[in-house]
Amino acid sequence: MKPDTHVKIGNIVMKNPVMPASGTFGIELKELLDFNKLGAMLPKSITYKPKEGNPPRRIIETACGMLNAVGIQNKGIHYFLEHELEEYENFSSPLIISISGYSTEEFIEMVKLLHKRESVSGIELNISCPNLAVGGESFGMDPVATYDIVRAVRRHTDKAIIAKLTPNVGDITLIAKAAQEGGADAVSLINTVTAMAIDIKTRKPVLGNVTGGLSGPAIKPLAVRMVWEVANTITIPVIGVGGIMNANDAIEFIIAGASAVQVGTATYVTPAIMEEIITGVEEYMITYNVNSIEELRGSIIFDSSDNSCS
Amino acid sequence: MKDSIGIVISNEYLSDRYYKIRLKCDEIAATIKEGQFVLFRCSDGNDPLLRRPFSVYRYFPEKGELEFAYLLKGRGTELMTRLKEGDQVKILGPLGNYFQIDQDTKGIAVLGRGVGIASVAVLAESAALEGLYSLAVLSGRNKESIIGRDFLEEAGCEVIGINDQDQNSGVENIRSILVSKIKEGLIQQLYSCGSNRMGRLVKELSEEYNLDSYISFEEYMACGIGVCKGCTCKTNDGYKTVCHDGPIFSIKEVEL
Ligand SMILES: Cc1cc2nc3c(=O)[nH]c(=O)nc-3n(C[C@H](O)[C@H](O)[C@H](O)COP(=O)(O)OP(=O)(O)OC[C@H]3O[C@@H](n4cnc5c(N)ncnc54)[C@H](O)[C@@H]3O)c2cc1C
Ligand SMILES: Cc1cc2nc3c(=O)[nH]c(=O)nc-3n(C[C@H](O)[C@H](O)[C@H](O)COP(=O)(O)O)c2cc1C
Ligand code: FES
Repeated sequence: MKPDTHVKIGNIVMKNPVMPASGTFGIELKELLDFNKLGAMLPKSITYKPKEGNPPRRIIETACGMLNAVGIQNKGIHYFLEHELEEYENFSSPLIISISGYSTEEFIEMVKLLHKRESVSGIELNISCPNLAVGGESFGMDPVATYDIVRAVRRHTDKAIIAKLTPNVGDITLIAKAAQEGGADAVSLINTVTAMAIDIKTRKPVLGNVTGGLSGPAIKPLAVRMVWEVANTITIPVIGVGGIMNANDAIEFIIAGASAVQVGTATYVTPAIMEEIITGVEEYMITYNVNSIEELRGSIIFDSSDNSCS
Repeated sequence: MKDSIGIVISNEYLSDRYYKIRLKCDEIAATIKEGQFVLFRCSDGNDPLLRRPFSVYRYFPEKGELEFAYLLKGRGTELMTRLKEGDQVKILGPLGNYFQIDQDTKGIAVLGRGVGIASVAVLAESAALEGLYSLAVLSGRNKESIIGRDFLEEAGCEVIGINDQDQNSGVENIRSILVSKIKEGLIQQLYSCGSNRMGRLVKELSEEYNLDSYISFEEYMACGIGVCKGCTCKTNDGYKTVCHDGPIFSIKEVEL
């Protein structure tokens, strides 16, 4: 029998737990990947006003990962709604839109606009961007700011709201709790890990923006740990992100407590990797006699002898 | 655009630090054009992680074959040198835009420096085979770093090799070669890859003699298809992606 791979994120029903991570998926992929097979579609973050992005160089490969400082280059929400949204409307998978802003007002304005669109099933809040009102620290680094922003947008929509959490904090469970209390339907984690690289010949930072975000297999263990901690702390669904390259990685996140997963950097390496991951998760469920994702979620087993603190 | 598999037909050392790999890949060979590139998956593991971009050096659609000339640089290209006949490699392509020659153009010059030769050589070859006047100015560190002379001459190109060791690769020398050909009415378009100094020369000459010229850019890449916005370069019209809006840009629109 085909196992039950569906999952629910707020009022979104996904036929499987696999969706793209924001910034690594776009309409350009449609020739290479069957969007209708995905649990959900999730394009790059958009901002209220157009954003030029950071000066080059914007990416560099590092050991088993990459650094990026793209700076959310995009044409703004109005352009997106007029020209890009309709492209996704040709596909049947639920559409989640990632938004990012520099003030509460910008987030609210964008949520109001998206709320009116029937083809939008959910909204992911990329709160890793600096909050200009408080001098540039990102919303997602402070529990109060996280609570406030989620609460502020919650009033304007009943579509699923997902708060995307940054790992660049002391205790991520405090931020996750704040998002839940603010009314989020789910949290996704982790965004990229702030990092840098220096060219030893010129002694200059490699990235035009000096620092950037680390993604890829290098961050997976960190992401698994954080997903596990957060899933043990809150009751809303957790979406696991960070270094997922194959089905085994996705399954590891689900066992740690994730209801669904997002795939980022791996899509650059293999554009159709999400299709392979979806099939691989299903095969695992058959092999290990798992009937549903819910049964697998958080099924991590501890032996009593494993209680060391190493 | 396809994420395809290429079967290695040959992989040989050329000279200096240059290699040439020939692949059988019907899907991509059938549609690729001069100036386009592919992304190579150099390892099956996570290190190196991202695919590496390589311009098509030559292509043979009837045979379903493609050639890439590559410079041994780091981990990815080192792994490429180990590929043997019969091995399979994942290649994504064809990617990016391609070189075009205006209808009323009677002759072109391509300027390639170092591994930049790999991107423009095929254009010079195709132009010559179509009966246009085709000049290839190939520049390198030394004589050995100049690739492609044999097949370009065979196709009927005029090939001028210049190199740093012989001290004839300076911009002034290239300028005087090009100016005399332009004044003779032989060349109406210039195409360049691999050196900013040559790019600036092309820009100057194009303004001076009103030539419709193009430059091919390289930038560090991740997705290769315009999704990640990681490979941007500055143009008169803001940032553009080298992989999707380029790699070929009109000399008028870029800052050098
Ligand atoms: C459109 C395009 C066409 C190209 N065509 C050719 C070609 O025909 N022949 C050829 O030899 N080379 C070509 N290159 C450059 C080639 O992609 C790099 O030399 C190669 O990726 C180096 O990989 P590596 O793992 O050996 O080196 P690494 O150890 O990864 O890096 C060595 C250096 O190579 C450069 N580099 C590494 N990865 C990339 C990348 N993804 N994009 C650009 N630069 C990179 C970096 O500046 C780095 O400092 C092209 C690049 C682009 C963008
Ligand atoms: C080039 C690039 C651009 C990204 N852009 C965004 C973005 O716009 N919004 C966002 O929330 N996350 C963005 N991310 C972060 C990813 O969504 C994801 O959280 C992170 O890359 C970790 O997952 P991965 O290891 O699978 O890539 C970006 C990541 C990369 C590599
Ligand atoms: S490499 Fe991703 S946009 Fe060009």
